[in-house]
Amino acid sequence: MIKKVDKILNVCSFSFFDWDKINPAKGNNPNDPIDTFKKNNIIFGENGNGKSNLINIFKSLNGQDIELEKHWDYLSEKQEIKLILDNNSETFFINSEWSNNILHDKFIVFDKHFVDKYVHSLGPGDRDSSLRRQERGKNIIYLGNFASYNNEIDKIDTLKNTISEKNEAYLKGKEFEINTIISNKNITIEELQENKTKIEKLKENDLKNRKNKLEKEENKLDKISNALKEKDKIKELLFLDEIGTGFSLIAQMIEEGKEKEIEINPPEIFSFTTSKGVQATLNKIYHKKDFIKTGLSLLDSQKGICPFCEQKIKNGDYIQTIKDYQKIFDQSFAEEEQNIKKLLSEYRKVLEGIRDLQVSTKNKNIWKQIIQFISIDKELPNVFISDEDRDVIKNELSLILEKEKNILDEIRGTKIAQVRGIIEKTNKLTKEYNDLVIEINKKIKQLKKDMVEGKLVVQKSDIVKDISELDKEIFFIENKKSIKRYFEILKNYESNKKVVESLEKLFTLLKNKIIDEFNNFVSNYFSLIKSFVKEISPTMDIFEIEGESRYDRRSREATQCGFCIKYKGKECTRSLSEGEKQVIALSFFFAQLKKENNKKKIIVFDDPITSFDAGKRKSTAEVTQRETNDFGQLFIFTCDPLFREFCLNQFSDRNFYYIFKTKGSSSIHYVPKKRETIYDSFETDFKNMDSINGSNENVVIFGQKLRFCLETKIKEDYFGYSQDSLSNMIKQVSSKGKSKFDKLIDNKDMILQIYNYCNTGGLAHYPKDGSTSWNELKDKIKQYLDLDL
Amino acid sequence: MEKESKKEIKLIDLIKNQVKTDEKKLIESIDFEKNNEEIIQDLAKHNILNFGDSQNNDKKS
Repeated sequence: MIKKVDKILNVCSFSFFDWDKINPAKGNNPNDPIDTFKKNNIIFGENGNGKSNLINIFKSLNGQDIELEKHWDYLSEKQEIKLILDNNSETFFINSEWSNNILHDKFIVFDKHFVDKYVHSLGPGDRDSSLRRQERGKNIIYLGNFASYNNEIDKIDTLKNTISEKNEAYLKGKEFEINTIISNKNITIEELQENKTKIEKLKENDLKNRKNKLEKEENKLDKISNALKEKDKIKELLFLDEIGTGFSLIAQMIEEGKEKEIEINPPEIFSFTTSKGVQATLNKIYHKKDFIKTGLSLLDSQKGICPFCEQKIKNGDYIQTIKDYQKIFDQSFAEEEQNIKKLLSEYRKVLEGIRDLQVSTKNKNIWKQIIQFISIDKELPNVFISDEDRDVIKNELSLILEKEKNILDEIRGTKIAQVRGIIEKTNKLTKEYNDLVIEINKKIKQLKKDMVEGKLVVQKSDIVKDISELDKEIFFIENKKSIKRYFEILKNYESNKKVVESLEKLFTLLKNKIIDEFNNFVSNYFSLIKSFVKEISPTMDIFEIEGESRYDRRSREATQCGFCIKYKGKECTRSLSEGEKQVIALSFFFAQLKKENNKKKIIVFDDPITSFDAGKRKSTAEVTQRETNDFGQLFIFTCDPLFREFCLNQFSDRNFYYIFKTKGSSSIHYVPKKRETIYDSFETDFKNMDSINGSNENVVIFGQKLRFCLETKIKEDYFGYSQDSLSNMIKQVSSKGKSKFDKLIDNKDMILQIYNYCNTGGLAHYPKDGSTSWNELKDKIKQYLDLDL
Repeated sequence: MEKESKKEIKLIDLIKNQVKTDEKKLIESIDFEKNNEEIIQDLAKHNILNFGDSQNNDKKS
C-alpha cells in the first residue's frame, strides 16, 4: 500500500510538491488524525490540475512504458519522485529510473487506455480490432491463470523431453559398453536382444561341453573342406580291412567219420598218458558190452585181475579173449593219440595266432588318408599282446612242443587260465578294432555317396552355421554377466520409455483440458460482464455481450478473444451511446477485478463515469466499493463532484484529497471530513508568513494553499458544490447566512483578482519570468485573510 | 455477486480422473516447483524411473 507521495519535483505539472509541507502531519488535526493514504482514497480535481499526471506516475511504477516528462518551465532541472509505502519502504524516481520494482505490476488501472485496449475504441466507427482481440486473449490468459496452466503443460513437455533424452543417453552409453564387447564377435545389439531368452538359459557349467563340441565341429569343417577340395581322392578312398575273427579253444575234429566241435582242453591234452590212453580207449568202447563197462571201472584198481571175472589172469587163461580186446584197445588208443596230437596242433595255431596278431600296413595307410576327410573320435586300437602275455603264450607253445615230442608223457605247467584270459582280451580288442573299422567304412561309404549326390556343400554350410552358433553360445556364456547387465539396462530403458509415453499422454490431456478450461473461463467471464452491466445499468440487460474465443498455446498469437454487443442478434457496438459504452467498459473492468487472483493489487479508477447519469454514478460507486473491497488499495480519481460525493458516502473508511494546480505546480491536498480544520490550519500558516523564509519553494507551497482555501471554501461552503442533492445544496448555502453572501458579492472583484493571480496570473508563471515574489504573494494572502470568508 | 474463489487448483489435478493408476502415481510424484533434474530424482526415488544408479530406492536399500 502507498502511504504517501512524499515528493514530486519537476514531473509533468508537479514542478514542486512536498507532501509534508501541504498536508498536516499525523496528530496535528485531532478531528481526523489520518493524514496519509488509506486503503480507499478519493482524489478530486478538475481537468488540467494534474490527476492524469499522478496516474501516469502510478502507471510508470507499474512498469508501463510511460514517459514522465519534465515541467516545461524546468527542462534543465532534475526530476525526483519519492513514495513511502505502508511498511515505510521507499521508492525513488531519479534520473528517469525507479530505484526498485516494489510496485511493479501492482496496479490495475481503469482509464481510457484500458477501455481502448480491451473493450472498444472510444472513437467513432472503429470496430473490434485484431490487436484488441489478442490483448483480450492475453488478459484472459492472465486472469484465468492459464499462464500457470501453460507452465504446467510446458513442464510436462520439457520433463518428457528431458527424461527421453536422458533415457536415450542412458541406453546409448550402455550400448557403447556392450558394443565394445560384442563387436569383436560381429554380434549386433539386435541379435543380442533376439537371443535374450536363449542367453538367459545358458549355464556357465555348459561352457566346457560347448567348447569341446566346437572343437569337434571345427574339425569336421576342416575334413569336409578338405573333401570338397580333393574330390578325386574321395573317389579313390579305400575301405579298411577287418582283422581276423575271434580266437577260440574250439577245434573242428572228425570223430567216427563226423565233423565235431571239440573244445581244446590243454590240461587234459598235456596229461594224456598210456593209462589215460587206455582209459580213453575204454571210454570209447564201453557202450559195446555192459560187462566191459563194469570191467573198465575196475581196471585201474585191480591190475593183474580180470576186470570181468575177477580172477587172476594167469596161465593164458582167457588170453585169447584179452588179446581180442587188446586188439580193439590198440586201435582205439592210436586214434586217441592222434586226436591229442591234433588238438595240440589246434592249440598251437590259436596261440601262434595270438602271438603274431598285428594290424595290416594297408589299414594304416588307408587310415592316414581317411582322417583327412572324416572326423573320427577314436583312434584305431593297437592290436597286440603285452610282453607278459607273450611270455605266457611262449611258455604254452614250449609245452606243446615238449608234449608233441613225448606224447605219452604227462606235461605239467600249463597256464590255461591266463591263456583263456589272453584269448578273451585279444578277442575283445579285435572286436573293438573291427567295430571301428565297420563304423569308419560306413562313414567312407557315406562320404563317397554324399560327394556323388553333392550334399557336402550343404553339410559344410550346416557345420559353419553350427560352429557360428556354438561360438556365440560360448561367447554369451563367457560374457553373460555383462550381457545380463545390459538386459537389465534395456528393461529399465523400456520402463522409462513407458513413463515418457505416459507423460506424452498427460501432455495431450493437458493441452485439451486447457482449451476446455479456457472456453469455460471465457463463458463465465462474459456472464460476469453481463451481470455487471445489468447491475450498473439495469435497462441495458437487453443487450447480449459475447466473446468468440480461441486458444492455441503453440501459435504466435496463442489466444484471441472477440467482443461484441448485440441487440436482437445484430451487432450494435457502433450505435451504442457513450454512456452505454462506458457501462460495458466498466463491467469489463469489474469482471477483470472479479477474476484477478492477486488481491493485493492497487486499483486505480481514472474518472470512470464521465458520461453517466446520476443513477449510474451511484451504482458505480456502490459496485466499485464492493468489488475493490478485497484489494490492497483503491484510488478513485474524478472531476465529478457528484460522483465524488457518492464515493465519499459509499466508502466509510476512506481519505479524500483535492488535486490543485496553481500553474506553478500541481499539489495533492488532504481534505479532512471537517474541512474547517484544514482552512484553519492553512490560514494559521498564512498569519505566520512573516516568520517564514520567502524561498521559491514556499512561494509555490503558499500559492497552492491560497488557491485551495479560496476555491474550495467558496465552492464547497458557499455554493454546496459537493452536495448530492438540491436540498442539501440549499441547506449548505443557507447555512452560510446572508451577511456572508453579501460580503462575497461586495468583494467579488477582489476574490476574482486573487483567484486569477493563483490560476493564470503572477503565480502561473512563477518563477519563470520573476513576475511574482514572496512579498506579492504575501499581499494576496493578506487580501484573502482580510476578506474573512 | 459471489466472490470469485482464488484459483489454486492445478491443471494437472483436473485430468487426474482421466488417467490410469500408474499415471496418477506419476502425476502425484511430480513437484511442479522443482526443476526437471530434481523431479527425475524424485521419480527415481519412487521407482517410477530407473537409470540404474543410486537414486532408486531399491538400489539404496
